[in-house]
Amino acid sequence: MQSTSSAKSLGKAEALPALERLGLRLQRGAGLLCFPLLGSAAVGLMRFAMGYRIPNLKHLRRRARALVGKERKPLIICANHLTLIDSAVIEWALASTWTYTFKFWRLPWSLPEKRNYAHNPFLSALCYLFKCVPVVRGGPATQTQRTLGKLSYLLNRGEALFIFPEGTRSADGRVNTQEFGYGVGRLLTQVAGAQVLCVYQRGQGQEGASSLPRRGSVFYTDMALIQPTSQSTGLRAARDLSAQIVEQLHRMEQKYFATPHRQ
Amino acid sequence: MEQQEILDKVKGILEPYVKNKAAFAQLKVETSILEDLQVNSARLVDIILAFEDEFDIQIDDESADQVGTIGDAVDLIRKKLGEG
Repeated sequence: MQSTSSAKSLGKAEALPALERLGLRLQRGAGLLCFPLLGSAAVGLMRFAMGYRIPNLKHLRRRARALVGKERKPLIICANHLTLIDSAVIEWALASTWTYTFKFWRLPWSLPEKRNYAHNPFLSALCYLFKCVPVVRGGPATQTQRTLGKLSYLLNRGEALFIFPEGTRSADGRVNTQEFGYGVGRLLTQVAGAQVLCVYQRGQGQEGASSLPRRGSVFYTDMALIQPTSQSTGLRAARDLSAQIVEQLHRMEQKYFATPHRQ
Repeated sequence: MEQQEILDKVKGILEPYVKNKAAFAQLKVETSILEDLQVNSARLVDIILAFEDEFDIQIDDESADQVGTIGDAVDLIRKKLGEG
């Protein structure tokens, strides 16, 4: 990552209070213990109960490995957003339950909106075990800073993050190149050397946003590793970097719609 | 620059992002940009950058995070203009 913004990453990560570091490590440990069961159950539900299918799965996983490499380093997975389970389907596409179990750092931390699940204890427990860091959009600045601190800390430990740069599901089913958040850009200005894996995924016949993909959906998946750069600093750099990621997703979407038989 | 002049410019910058036009019409210094005016939180960065361009100032991330109300924005801009 070549943003000219100061990469204050290590300092910020170390600045995370000990209790919060411990909390994240405990969460990771609990998630790892439960993952063989929960991960298999999630994939089983998608495959057998919902009938979802990802063609060329082995090829996709090989490609993801080749792009990201074997080395443990900060990775942000950025994807388009059409349904509530996009991250689960994409994680299924990128690696096997086996891989995630033995390289748990490859299972990305997700950033769900707290208000969407905190009212439900079962969902809250699942989110905790599936490595979620709750976010409150438009919340107080102190809370945003705290969340950014946690995410920087995780990235600096070589953990992967999963972020939807648009911030919300695409209302009209297309990547929104005008209204997107700059949170991912802010993280990139704070964490030196983070890689960005852009993933474009879409279920066949998925026209707009919905809660779940249709039963029997066949998923088109494309990915690209990019290195956003900015000559600016601070918020301006955050905006530049975020825009480059969204633009990459938009290009991938154009490629999808230009493909005659779309898989 | 006078406070009123800053406030007028701030209003001009904010207007395209405001969803609650009624609250915008009744604007006060304590009006919350996100809650009262219902500006999308992601757009707050665009607004801060527009302040930088309009007033020829630099606003760091930490200061930007402290902007919650119209009064906060005006105070921050006055402070930055004073620093310049």
